[in-house]
Amino acid sequence: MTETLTATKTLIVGLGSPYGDDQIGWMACERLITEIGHLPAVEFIICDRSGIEWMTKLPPGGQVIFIDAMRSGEKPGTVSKIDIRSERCAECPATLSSHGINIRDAIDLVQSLGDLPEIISVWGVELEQCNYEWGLSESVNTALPTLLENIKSDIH
Amino acid sequence: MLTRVEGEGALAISIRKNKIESLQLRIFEPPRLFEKLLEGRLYTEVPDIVSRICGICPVAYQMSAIHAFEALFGIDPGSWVRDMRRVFYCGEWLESHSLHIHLLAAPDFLGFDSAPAMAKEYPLELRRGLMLQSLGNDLIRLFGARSVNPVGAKVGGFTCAPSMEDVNALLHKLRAALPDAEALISWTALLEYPKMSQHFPSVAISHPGEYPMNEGDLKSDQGLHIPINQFEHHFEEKQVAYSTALHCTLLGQAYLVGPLARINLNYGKLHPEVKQTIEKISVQFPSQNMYHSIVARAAEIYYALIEAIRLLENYHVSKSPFVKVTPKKGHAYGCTEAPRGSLWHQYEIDKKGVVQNARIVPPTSQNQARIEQDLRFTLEQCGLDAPEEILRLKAEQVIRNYDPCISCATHFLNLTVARL
Repeated sequence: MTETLTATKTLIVGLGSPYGDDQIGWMACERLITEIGHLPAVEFIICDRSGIEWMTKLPPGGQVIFIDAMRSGEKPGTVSKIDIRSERCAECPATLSSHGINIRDAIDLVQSLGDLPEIISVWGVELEQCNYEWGLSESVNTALPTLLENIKSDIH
Repeated sequence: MLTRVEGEGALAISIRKNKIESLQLRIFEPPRLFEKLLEGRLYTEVPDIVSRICGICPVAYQMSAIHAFEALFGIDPGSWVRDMRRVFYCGEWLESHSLHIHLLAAPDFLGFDSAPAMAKEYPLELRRGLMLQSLGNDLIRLFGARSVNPVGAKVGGFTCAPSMEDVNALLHKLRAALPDAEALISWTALLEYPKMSQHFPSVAISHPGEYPMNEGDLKSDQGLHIPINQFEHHFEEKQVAYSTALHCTLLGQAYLVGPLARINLNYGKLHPEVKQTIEKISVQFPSQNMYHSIVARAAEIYYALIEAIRLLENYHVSKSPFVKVTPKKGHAYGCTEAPRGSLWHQYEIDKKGVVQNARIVPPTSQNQARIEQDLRFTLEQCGLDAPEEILRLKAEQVIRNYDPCISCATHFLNLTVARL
């Protein structure tokens, strides 16, 4: 894997906020920095809005992995890999994201510019609570190791 | 108060005999009650709390609050802090204006329904916008540790001074962006603008020695010149029944704040390079054409870039990036120039430095009445017998010209037309 990583740059984007289950994207990103942050071809960004901040840092021809909390009707703590080009994702209302720029809009923009990385992965964890509590709910906390293992396996 | 508004805006107009009888821009976002939340908080907590009001202009909220407290406490943090706060603010103008021009406003002028659609034909322009915005974020991060809700600013100065290495690396990138920023002014000037002139007072801070950001008196182009602590004697905020956004008026009149108002009042304070570039284009200032706001934003991007470079070229790592603060009882007033216009704060503080009450008047609230006035003018000029789809598009363009914090949320403006 190391050889591939040095040849192909991977950008891992943790999305969310410091609150409740919404912090799963940040927390997973921080854990990955600790575990695989030494790999030279992997970069990390933690941000609280889905667009703009990461758009200028995409690795050409590489891979981008988004990590975020999600609400899709599944059981809380469910770890899913989402196809950003799916119809289900297209129906996601923009108002769920800060300032109306959701991941899909941002990816559309990057695609129009011809800067889209070859591989885009979106990893989500179904949230249990979306409030201003500091900690993760038990179900999301339990899902964290599975999420991390899946993401590490997903790095090309 | 109207701070950052997400959700849908709605516009209701009644038309009788080809004239608008009533027009209401309705904002549904419930009040966020930040002012109430600040009561009982120590002055040291305020900058970090108010920065959460807006993810696009947190620096402005921090600066208005910090300047208010320092004025009351009689603190002079010195020239290093003063200069670096200006650089910090330059970052916010760069970030916010670049986002607005390229992702929100330009598609309107070029006939696209979104930035991704525009990117296919204007990829270089979009890339330029993202690059300039990213530079703005880098500047905010330099002093604030992060670009959204930065944490480096405090009453008395900054928590720490950036390293020479970080400053030099960023300086290199800022210098490289100068040709792009200069070209942006000419590019915005070549967009097609309706020829129009509306009557409105421009209001902004003015400072005798510099283009306004952090300090100065409030001025209008109709003779107002007051210290910021006199704001409440001249400006009045009113609740309207149909919207959660307050409407602020100047002696009963709608008025404009923001880049066009700022440049109308302070053109002479721009750097010579910016003025020379503007002299070569068809758009000139002062201007009463609201569509020229996008050119004013481009001019401020070029200004902010030159100003940040000028100040960082003299940078040294300060051993004392902040001064000691002793609170005092009294009323604190702060007003700085957010990307969207003058942002006024007032706090009543007890002797321990605890906030007793707070009042924040953001630029979007100040522009509400002006937006409604402009919508009435523009839609009548467009022709009220136009299909509702055309009226809706025109209304969205008018609203986006002001870059209100609702601009993102009003891409799908819900328009109700009653033809009486």
